[in-house]
Amino acid sequence: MRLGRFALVFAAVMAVLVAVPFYFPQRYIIHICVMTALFVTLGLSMNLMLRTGLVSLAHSAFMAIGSYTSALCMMRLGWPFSVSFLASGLMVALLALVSGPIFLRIKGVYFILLTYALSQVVMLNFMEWVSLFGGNSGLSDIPRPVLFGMVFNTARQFYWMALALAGVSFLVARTIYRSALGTIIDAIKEEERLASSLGLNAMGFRVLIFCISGFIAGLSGSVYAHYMTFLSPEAFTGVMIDVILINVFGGAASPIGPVLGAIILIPLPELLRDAQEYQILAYGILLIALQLFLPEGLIGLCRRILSARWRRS
Amino acid sequence: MTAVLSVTDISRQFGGLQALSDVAFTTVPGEIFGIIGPNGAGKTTLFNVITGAFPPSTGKVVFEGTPVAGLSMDKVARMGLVRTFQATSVFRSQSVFENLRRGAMFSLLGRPSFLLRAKATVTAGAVARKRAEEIIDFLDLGAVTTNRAGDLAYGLQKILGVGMALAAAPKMLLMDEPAAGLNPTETAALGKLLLRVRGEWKIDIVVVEHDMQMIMSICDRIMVLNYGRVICLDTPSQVRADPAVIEAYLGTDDELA
Amino acid sequence: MGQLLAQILVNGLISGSTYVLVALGFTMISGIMRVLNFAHGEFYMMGAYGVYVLTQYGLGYFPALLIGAIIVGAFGVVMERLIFRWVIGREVNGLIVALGLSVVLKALALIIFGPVELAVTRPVHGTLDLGSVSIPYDRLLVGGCAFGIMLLFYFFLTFTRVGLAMRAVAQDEKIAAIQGVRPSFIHAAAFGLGCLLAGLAGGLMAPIYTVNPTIGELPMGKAFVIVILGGLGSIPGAVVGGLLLGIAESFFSTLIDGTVSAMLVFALVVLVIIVRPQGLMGRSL
Repeated sequence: MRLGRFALVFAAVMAVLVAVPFYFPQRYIIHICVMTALFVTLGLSMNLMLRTGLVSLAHSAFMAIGSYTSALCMMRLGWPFSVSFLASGLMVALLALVSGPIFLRIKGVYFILLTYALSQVVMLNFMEWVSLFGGNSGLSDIPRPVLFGMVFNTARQFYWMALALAGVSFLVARTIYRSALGTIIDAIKEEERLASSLGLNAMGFRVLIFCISGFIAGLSGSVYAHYMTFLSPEAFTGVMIDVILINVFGGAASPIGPVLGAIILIPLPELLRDAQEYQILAYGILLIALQLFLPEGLIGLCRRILSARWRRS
Repeated sequence: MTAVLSVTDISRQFGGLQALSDVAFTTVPGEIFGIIGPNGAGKTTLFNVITGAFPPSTGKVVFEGTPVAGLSMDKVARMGLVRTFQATSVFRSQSVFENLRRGAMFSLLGRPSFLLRAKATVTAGAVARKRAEEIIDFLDLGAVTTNRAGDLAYGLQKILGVGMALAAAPKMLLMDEPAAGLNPTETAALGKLLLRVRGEWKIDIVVVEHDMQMIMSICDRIMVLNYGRVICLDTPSQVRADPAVIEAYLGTDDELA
Repeated sequence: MGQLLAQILVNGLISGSTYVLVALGFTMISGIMRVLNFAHGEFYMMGAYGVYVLTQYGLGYFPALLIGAIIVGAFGVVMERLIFRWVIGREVNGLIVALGLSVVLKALALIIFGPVELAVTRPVHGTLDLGSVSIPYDRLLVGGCAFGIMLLFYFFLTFTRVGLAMRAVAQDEKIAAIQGVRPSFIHAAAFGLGCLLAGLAGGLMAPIYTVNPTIGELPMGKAFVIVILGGLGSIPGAVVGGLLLGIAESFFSTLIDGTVSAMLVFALVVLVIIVRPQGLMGRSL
């Protein structure tokens, strides 16, 4: 019965979200909606990592790899969008599969440092390998996707595409958390040594999550590339902090956390286009304050309020 | 039946320090095998070598015919050699039932490849529940099934730890100082529990211990380590009478006093 | 060929020595507080701006360097007391807080100074010519100062009470506390000192490059690579790793080119992890 209720709520929310462009047809609002949906996807991909006790600083690079892969597959190889889209996810998953076992060889925070180093090296390649990636000026005239004979060339079409991706990512994350795999990653986060002593290959599951998470991040990059039709390394600079902030703000303990985080935080900079630096300042202060005073984010706050009420009654 | 766990001529150096030299023993099926020694005798190092935490400098560890030295802990556990920890280890935030269910589940779905076998997940779920319930009955934990493991008394957490290891369906348990931190009553109860584990579950036990009382009362044979060497390997009564053992303990430690 | 190698070595040692200064503080803070200070590069950036501002007010380069670094160090102490002491030992939370601080400091620099490149007047000019090797005096000054600071830091850790106490806390905080060391004081002191070192490095490099709000990112990235190479928390590891990184970069970028050099350094890091996971100088696992 729980599934039934969830399916109903999910379908209702999705229906409302699908209808948004009809009520707000302004191009800049739809643009904000596309970016929010992409960051929901990316935030969920990071959420998988955080739930497993891993912080990745490579996710901005992962998104970038997805973008460039998808764009180049269509531009250079002439592959259809559907194949390029999948290739972008697979490319990142493959990188995670190769680098994961090496990065996780050492326990503790080395993983964080190594993902950072990887991200730097990847971005450096996009900047310096001009013949393939176009260097700092990037790639332009990235073709619009064609799916089932339909050309995606309006913002609202991309919004629906990004929304579908976000919705599917949410379902994937939720299904994982509710399955045996979810129990396994919770256990790895809480007591890795104990879990291994009972026969659990913690390293294998961490790499698996890194791959799934990378796959999703790569897909979000693909949609981004064909939506913007223009890519440059600069576009991905703030993403690293944003995906973490989304999770910290919303609360990483639930997949709803990053969804709320993205919906609240991503539109802000777009709405307040002036005073960018003050905004960044506010973001930083927010991140510190949340970590110190509300480490479980909005979701944690809601749960605390709800359980206090429940206890009182 | 062949010997269950066989350790041949294990040595291990740390830098210039010789932590273990030429340690060898072979367990007999169905026995409880004890390893004791004064502080710093190399018990923990031996334990870590056997469970694969680090490989020996020389020598072999063979479990059921397969060399296990240097294999990862989870792989060794899936082969049926399950270790327990000195400090209590339970998933503190989870219920007693969930802890036991996890013990069973992780041994069944220990590798990511299980995701490719959709049926495995379903059957494993049912098996894990059943095993958890069996163990709750066996350990008489029925009254605390839904309690948070972290809220249990220390002694009960240790019992739960044994239960989780049992849930992982071991052929042999390797226990690192299971009585550490327990009072004499709890220690005695734990000793009885280990005898029941051997008797009713047909699981062999190798136990590294500090508490002489318990080890003397439950073990079939005991190996005594001192400065990384085996100084005696015999039945409890013989070990008790061995002059080298007495000297090792009285000379360096007041455990027997 | 020998001449070229000598030049590569000298260049590498000089750039490596400034990397060491940044990595020393980073690794020390991580060893003592179990906090990954992702804002470490921004303390470097503050040191550079410190020199810029103080020399604008007519101070000489060296007093400006020193006073600037002390201000950065003091700011570090304040940040430790205000923010970081709440996340000691919780590495993921500490990391997120530090990321936040890094964003804040960069934004502040942008608000105060704008995105422009600011230049600091070079304190020395000309080039030292040793026949086979030639070194610009300003670079020589940076290298000399960096090695001098490393030496002072070494004496501080080996012979002063506070330095010894820091090492004790890094090894085992509980035992250090039993022996009368106040961990909270050591945490603040270590954080401040680490930031001071980063500030010094920033101040030293300010005349060589220009100053802008994001100059801290590059040396911080280097510091990460160094601590992976040398072992996180290891002081000798930071020195060896930093010099090694400097020489490797100098070697690769002279003989091949900068991008390939960065790739090769990353490959080197991966190789070290595979062969020697505890780092070159790290305690064995």
